[in-house]
Amino acid sequence: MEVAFTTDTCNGARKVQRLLSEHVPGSVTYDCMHHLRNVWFGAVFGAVEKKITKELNIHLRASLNEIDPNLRVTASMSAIIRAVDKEFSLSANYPKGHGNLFQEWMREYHPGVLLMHVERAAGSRQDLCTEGCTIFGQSTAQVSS
Amino acid sequence: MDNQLRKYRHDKPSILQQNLFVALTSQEMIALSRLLSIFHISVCMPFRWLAGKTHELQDYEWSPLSMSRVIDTLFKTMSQLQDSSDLIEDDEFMMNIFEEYRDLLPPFKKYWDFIFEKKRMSVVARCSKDGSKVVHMARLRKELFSPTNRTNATTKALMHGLAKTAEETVCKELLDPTKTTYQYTSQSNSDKSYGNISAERETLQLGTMATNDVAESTLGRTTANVQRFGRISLSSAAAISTAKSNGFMQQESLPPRKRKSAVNVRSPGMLFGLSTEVQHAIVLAARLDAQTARKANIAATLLQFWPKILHDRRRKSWQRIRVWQMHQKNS
Repeated sequence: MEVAFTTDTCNGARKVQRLLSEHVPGSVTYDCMHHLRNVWFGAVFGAVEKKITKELNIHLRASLNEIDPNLRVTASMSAIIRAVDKEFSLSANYPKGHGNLFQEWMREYHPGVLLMHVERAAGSRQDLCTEGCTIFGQSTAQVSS
Repeated sequence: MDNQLRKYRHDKPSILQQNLFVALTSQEMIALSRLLSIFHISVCMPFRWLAGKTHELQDYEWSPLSMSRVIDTLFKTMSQLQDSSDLIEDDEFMMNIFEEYRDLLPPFKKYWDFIFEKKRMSVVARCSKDGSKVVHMARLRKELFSPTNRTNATTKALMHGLAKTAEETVCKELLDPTKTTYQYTSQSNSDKSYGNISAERETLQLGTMATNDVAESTLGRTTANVQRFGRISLSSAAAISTAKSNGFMQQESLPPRKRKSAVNVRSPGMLFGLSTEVQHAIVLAARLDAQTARKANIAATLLQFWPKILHDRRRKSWQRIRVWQMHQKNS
């Protein structure tokens, strides 16, 4: 087996990788494929969110100007997934959330309905936007509850 | 819950909760979430599996260098999508982007069938006996590509517009010479592009990982230790993380709650492989060191707080002097 050095796209890590590969003759270097995937989709989120924000701004400019920017009211999907996690997560880790109440409401009024897990949004997660969006099918339940 | 999201505090509505309510009912956001969900199940999930399982696929002549081929496939698909954005709603096209790898790698096919045909999840029910189980990912796939919900169905035009932007962005990212991914594409003609990889070189790389999972996992556990134990030193947090990941203190017998699901009895950790005398010596040394370690920890904590304590004392002294001076002045 050949020696291989794998890193993410961080500058510091890449420098260490380069220095190590210079000291180990015949070694190969490549990049972490999880990080590469997240880099492409990170760019996708940025581009589509920009487009959505541009469209929403046309309709909502007047209303948005009245809202304090500190309240972080944006069309950012990651911000919405974090908010959904805090409000509806069944683990009820966020004290101000209503996960337990939501679960009880679902049991009472919608037995037999599929309720998918809200993605854990704590900390920094690069693939949060795509993975968190898979709950989109139940947004109707969350809104009507 | 509707009331909760619309409730008023201090005679004013909660803007953040109303924002969530509006976002969840907004067609634009539903279109965006539908698009990202399609990308997740058709691109991210298979790519993640292939990247994460590469080191286990050596029997099928699959190495980390083979991932360049997957990137080429992705680029080809995204170029096709750019020409015809209607394909984003085509179940057969989107879900078969990586079909050639399902034929090439039987474990990948097994995973795919498991996720979309066998993996089940319970529906909402008062108790587990009342509820039935459904293949949730199959249901999600059906709703994404052929929506039955009227709100989801009306997002078609909007989603096509967003899909075009997304596909253009992915192609641009893959072909950007300043980005890392470029060297893995055939267009770069570099030594990492699939066409330039020799069979001999690929054979040497069989069994190696294509990801940083091991390092990321260790770092994640170290962070968890720092968060859990407060002022623990970084070296101790890292040591606990490494000892756990290597199963250093793992016992042969499984705890009762895990016995049901476990197939085999696991092998004992390195500590239990040592002779009984050495095991006792290690525990004794740890107990003797505990007091010294505790004292050193307290000293380090005080060192951190010492400037603050001094500052507080000075402030209190000045306050006392000022009170005394005012008292003298008044009297």
